[in-house]
Amino acid sequence: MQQSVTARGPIGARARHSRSPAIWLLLPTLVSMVGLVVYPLARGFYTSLTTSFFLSNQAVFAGFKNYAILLHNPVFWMVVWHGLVWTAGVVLGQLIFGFVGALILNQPIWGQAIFQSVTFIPWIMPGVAAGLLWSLMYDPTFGLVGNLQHFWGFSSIAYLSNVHTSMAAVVVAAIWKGTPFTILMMLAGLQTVDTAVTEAARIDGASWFKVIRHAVIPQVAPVVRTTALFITVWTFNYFDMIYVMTNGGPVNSTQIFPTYVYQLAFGQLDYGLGTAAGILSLVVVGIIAALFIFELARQGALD
Amino acid sequence: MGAAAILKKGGQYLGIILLLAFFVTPLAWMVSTSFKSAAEIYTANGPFFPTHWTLKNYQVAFAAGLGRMFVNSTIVAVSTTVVSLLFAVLSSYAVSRLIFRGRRMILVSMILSQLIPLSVLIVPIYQIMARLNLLDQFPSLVIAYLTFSIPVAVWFLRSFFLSVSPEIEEAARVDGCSLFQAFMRVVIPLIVPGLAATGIYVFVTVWQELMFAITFLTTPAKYTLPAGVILFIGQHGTNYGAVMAAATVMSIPPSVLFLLMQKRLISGFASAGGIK
Repeated sequence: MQQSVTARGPIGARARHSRSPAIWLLLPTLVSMVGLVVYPLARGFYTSLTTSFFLSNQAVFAGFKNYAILLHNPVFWMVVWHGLVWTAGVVLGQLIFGFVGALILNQPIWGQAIFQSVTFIPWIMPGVAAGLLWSLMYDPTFGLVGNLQHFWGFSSIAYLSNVHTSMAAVVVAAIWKGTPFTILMMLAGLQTVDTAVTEAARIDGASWFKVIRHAVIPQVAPVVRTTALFITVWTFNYFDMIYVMTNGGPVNSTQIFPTYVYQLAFGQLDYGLGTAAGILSLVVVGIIAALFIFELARQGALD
Repeated sequence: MGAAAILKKGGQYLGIILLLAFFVTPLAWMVSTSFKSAAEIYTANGPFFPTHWTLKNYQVAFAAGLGRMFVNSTIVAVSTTVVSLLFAVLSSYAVSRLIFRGRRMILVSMILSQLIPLSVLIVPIYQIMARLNLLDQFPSLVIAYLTFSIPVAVWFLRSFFLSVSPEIEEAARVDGCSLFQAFMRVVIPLIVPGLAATGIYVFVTVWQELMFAITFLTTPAKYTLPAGVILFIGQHGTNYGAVMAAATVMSIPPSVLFLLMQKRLISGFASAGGIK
């Protein structure tokens, strides 16, 4: 962190004079961040060490009791597993679909701008609206998914209320909602691809697939990595769609950290247990965070 | 055009059609269902488009308070956007333009704060708001939303500040402007498009926030759209028509704003994600 003092570029000349304005400019932001992130985090950690009784304001210090309760609860480990399945499924789906979509939309084609705009609406629309829409999509009698299955001669099932299909169903819905963002990021990445390299490969007789594999993918790899980290964090912490579609059910089959924490804290009104589960989810996020910072630093985005 | 070229163009259009079919069909179905009569919605294998268009679902949704929720969401989202832009424009300028000890640390902590799940922060922030007697009031939401809107705005704006050449500012300083004057008269006008894009992004994220809204608000007249639509309209069981009407209405403002600022939003994301 110390090297940031080093003067660099044309603004370096002014460095000596700019120390005092910086603190004043940063003050409102720093105060809000301390008040809204640092202090609540510390307070939350303390709460996770307490046991409170229903409808009473008395919280009693209990050490790591809440953590012990969670770690011995099979539901907690189910939530850990579901969180990984949900995140891996949604992120992989978005990356694969997003890359293919970006390749398709990257070609000059009539109506390109309109296609790009329309494709983006699922990402920009509220998660609540998307969740409600997909709840109806999956309705076994009146939903579009069932209708299509009947059309092709299959029988439909209630995907969201079946423990074997509920997770796959919410994952598909989340891929639908999130992929447009990946497409746009990858499009931005593809536009930076050096066409001289791809042309040279093509002239040398490389197949379309080989050009993509050896000339395009290496060039967009940094974009793919940052996008992957972005959507991994968003997906891991995403509350809205699962809350609306299944609320973690049936029988916890779609329970992930955000819905679990919410249910413990505001469903069972056990703040201590809820924040303890939240703090444990931070461990997972912490690993992702380390990768994130490492990647941004490597790309020089922090300089 | 040779056969290969025609095949390639054809394949490309086929790809686009499949892509659009996957993304647009559910959207089209949401809108078309919102215009269907109950009889048509509750028919197994019913038609995709309504045979008789009706506004009945919208009347039901608005009678259940959709208009009020729309106004509430607008108040909360606009307030949050204004406050976050005000704070972020100052700090983003500082971390983009000025060199000082701890700059890099501030940038890193801005990203780190974005990784903290809101589900971890919600209990302590709820308790703080309870103590301040702000629960069930809009300021509690606006303040809570700053946790994610400020850091995002700082990162977004940074890419726009970095795109303004420092020489322009230096020139203004040489001409006798103070740091503040140079900032207000030279830098700010140049990043107005960036401010608009950042503002729209903050507005859109706040517009759809659900978890804090259902926790902090208890009076139905104060519900924002996500909270109200879930707790109120959704509670009428399976009135799919009204629910789809509400989903359509709440999706319109973000979609329109996005279409207006598409290019700049993308460049904001691209540079926040390290794409140069």
